[in-house]
Amino acid sequence: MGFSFLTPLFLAGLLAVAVPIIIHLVRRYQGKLIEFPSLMFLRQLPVQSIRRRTIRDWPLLLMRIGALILIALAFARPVLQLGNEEDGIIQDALREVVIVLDRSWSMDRGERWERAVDEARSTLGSLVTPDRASLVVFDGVGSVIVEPTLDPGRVSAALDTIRPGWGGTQIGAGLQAAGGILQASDRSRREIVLISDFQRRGWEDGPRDPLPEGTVLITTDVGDDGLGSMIVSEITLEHTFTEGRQRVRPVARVIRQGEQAPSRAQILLELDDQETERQSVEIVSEGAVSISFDPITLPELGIRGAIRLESESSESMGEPFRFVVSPSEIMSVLLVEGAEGAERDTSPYLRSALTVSGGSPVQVETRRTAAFSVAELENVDLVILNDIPLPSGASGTALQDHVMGGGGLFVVTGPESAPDEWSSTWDPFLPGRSGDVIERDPGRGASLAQVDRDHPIFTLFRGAGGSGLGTPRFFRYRELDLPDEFSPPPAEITDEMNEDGPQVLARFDDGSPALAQRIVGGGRVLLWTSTLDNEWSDFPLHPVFLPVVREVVQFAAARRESVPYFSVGQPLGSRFLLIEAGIISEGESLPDTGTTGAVDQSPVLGLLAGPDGTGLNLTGAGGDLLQIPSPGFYEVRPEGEGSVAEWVLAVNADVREADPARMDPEELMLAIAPPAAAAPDGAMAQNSLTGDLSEGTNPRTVIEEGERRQSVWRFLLLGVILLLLGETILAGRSKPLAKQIG
Amino acid sequence: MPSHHAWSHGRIGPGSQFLDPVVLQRIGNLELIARGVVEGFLHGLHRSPFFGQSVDFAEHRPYTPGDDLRRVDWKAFARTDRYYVKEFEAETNTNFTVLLDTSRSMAFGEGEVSKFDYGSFLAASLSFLTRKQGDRVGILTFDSEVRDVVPCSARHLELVLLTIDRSQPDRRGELGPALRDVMNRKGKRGLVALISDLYIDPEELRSPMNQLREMGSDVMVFHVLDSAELDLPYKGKVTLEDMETKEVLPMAPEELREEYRKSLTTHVAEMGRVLTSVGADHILADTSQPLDQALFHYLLARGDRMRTGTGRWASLS
Repeated sequence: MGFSFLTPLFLAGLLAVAVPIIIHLVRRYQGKLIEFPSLMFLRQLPVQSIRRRTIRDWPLLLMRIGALILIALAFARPVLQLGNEEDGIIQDALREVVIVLDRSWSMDRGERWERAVDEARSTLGSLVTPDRASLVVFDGVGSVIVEPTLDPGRVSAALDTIRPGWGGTQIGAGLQAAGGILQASDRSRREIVLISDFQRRGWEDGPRDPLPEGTVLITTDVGDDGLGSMIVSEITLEHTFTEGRQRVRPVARVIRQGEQAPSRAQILLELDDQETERQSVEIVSEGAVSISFDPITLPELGIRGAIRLESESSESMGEPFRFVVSPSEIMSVLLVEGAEGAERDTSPYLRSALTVSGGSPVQVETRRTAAFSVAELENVDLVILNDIPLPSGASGTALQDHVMGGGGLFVVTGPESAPDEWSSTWDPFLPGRSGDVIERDPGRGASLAQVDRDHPIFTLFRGAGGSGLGTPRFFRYRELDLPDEFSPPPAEITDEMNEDGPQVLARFDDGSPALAQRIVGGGRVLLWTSTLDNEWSDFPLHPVFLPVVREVVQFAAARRESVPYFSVGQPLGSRFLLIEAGIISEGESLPDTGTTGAVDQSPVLGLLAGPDGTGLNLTGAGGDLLQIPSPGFYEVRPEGEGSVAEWVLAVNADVREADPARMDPEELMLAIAPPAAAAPDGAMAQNSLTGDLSEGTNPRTVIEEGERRQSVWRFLLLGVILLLLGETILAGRSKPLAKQIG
Repeated sequence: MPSHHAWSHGRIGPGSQFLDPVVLQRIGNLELIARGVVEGFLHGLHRSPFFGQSVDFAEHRPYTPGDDLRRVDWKAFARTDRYYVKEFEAETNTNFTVLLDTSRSMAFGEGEVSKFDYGSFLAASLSFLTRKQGDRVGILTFDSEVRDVVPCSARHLELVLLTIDRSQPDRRGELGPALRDVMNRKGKRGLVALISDLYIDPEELRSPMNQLREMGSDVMVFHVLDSAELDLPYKGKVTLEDMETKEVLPMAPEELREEYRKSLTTHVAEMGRVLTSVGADHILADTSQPLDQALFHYLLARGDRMRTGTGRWASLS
């Protein structure tokens, strides 16, 4: 049980109770001062202390004090909280408000950030004590900046320290963090105020966890300014080999977004900080153009490049697009697809993924028959069997020899790769035997649910929701029966060569394997249980298709693709950086702590030096992940004073942030906002779809209602009357005594 | 203790208004006051039934026109066929010394007349009367020690009056040390009038009084008290401040009045007993009462001294 007071200031009247007590106990009642010739005789008399006489009047004093106390309490208008309905009403009035603020790169445009901060402050100003407020910011990840607090000033102070970063937008990440706060809250009124420019890409590519039940989602759109931009969205590097020299032609894709974006610009190519070429670009309407620059002869150590946009008055138009490129060997891929006359082309997306520029050069030979000779496969790095039966006979043997000799094999199953057509001679080479087709709900399909993110294939997909690995939908895939025991290896395969048994690298949401590997001899075999076209899934239609295919291919061929650039916020393992720099080898065993806490105890093997002179230690430990926060060229150096850069990586702002495509906030609310909680009696209905901050029950109104119902003040005043009556009676009986006191 | 209120003014007769201390206060001039008091007293004395009974005859002198016919000694006329007037005051050259207490407590007074005013009037009147009797007059003022000294002389009346006039009761007094200081000064024997409020242990007076007796002096002690000191008339809660020590005492007088009076009565009685035992007169002088009784006692004392040569020993307290 507890008390609230409607007018607590009157409790100050309780201080007045102390006054008569102080007067009675402390002050020596002196009366009129009279000069008297001598106290010689009076001193000899037993003069009683006035104070001692007063003690006998305690009952009277207590009655008077009690009356004063009850008067002060009555005026303060107390409300009893009995833990029942009234108490519940008061509790129902208390809010937990989470401000979720978008600080992605796109929020730095125009006045979006200033508007967003103003909106956040306005939200804080509308809070009523004891509402609780917290602050979550998000770009690629969501972070709780201020934990729930009764002090809006703390949140306001935090707003002063935050600025937009370079990261992309993941609205779902921000809502995820806010949902965590609300889940832990003990208040029934839960509100999220989402302030963003609502880039569509920021919602489509991220998590979409439902909000806790009863959460009210209020959206504030600060991106309705119509701002546009012209930016370099990507660079592809077309590798060519001419007369033994490797040359690279940078091709820049320039996009114009928004009617207000400039239509003309100068585009410059800089190599090692020197301008080498300049062109004009004009985009008359929203769209994109590709600008090709002259081929560059690559020096042995590689080159740092940047492409800039300048206005016609030579003003820089945003950040340059950086890249690095080093000489690399062409990877030879033999793609074997459906037989001649097959109805469908199973490889268009795969071919595109293999041949897209920007990574290590890949030379793809496509054939429709799985007839190989050993000689043919000698210079092939990777054989891809795309939904065809595994070859048997001499071709099969040649292919198996190829694998054992260190070549790569990537098997893609589909409707044509029936398991009963696979020779048992392949059992020692494959991670499992392909089985029946699994049909999934044609409406929802299956998704990738478990991914071995420590595997080199998926290292780049660590962080925020796996950067979209869970979004593709798979409607059919084949079972993969993993062997209970490893099949006996071929006689030629020694124990040292057959080091690893089958490994499942990714599974669907029903646990069925999606991607599995087996290391055989010196080679690697990977098996994908669905198609790589849009026959059994929409995988090729998702952005993650390209990097997944490239990584699988690179791993299967035991190649490491040089990445010309990374994006801000993209998680990178320190092990990956050390391997790319050649500081450690790919197979080198290092402590895998699995937690960042233990990473601190791992030895430092290298340093990631930033353009601003700062550095991050690289341990290579399994849990050691980095997210580079800002654009620039970064160098990976071995540990040791005075070491030189072994590898350079280019980091760019997330160009997806330039995509002006926006979503209607109501669309988002409909997607994830749960039904609003039933309003407490007497409260206004709460509208979670208007985007306005809810005008729910004012806690003070609730307390007033409770006080009006209880009317405790009446009982207190009755008590006052009774005490004063008693005081009158008691004072009358002890009149001489009262006179002495009064 | 018999109420001092029996000694009310008006019993002497007309002219007694000159003896009312309130009236005297308004006169202001001390000599005038003294003269008025004495003449009024003597005038009243002639009308008094006590006249001639308590005052002894001293000598005859030839009648001169204007003399009071009641003073004519008809027996002597019968014997001599000449008119002779009885003289009641004889030129005896007695030394009369006033010991006047000028301590702070003497400044107390609830009415118009403070104890010091009363004591001043009394001292002045006695001095004046003394000179009228042909005696020598002197004064000694004290608080905690002797302040002013005027030796006895027939020519010192004005000086005595001046000394009284300029004295102020503004210092702390301690009667015991003051009397010791008085006794240390070798004064002439004669008649001594101690005018004080006597806030002292009565036993502390025994030694100085004995000393005066051994010197051959007769002592009258005028115990001057204000009616407020006698009655403690205050109501409600008061805080009394000792005028000598500045000590304060909060109290409710109504609660203590009876006990206080008893204490004071006991003190006065004890004072009288001790003084009587050493041969001094103890006269309780209420400042609200006329001065005649005090003067009357003076004359009685002087008369006894004239008669016996040694002084009178009876106590009137």
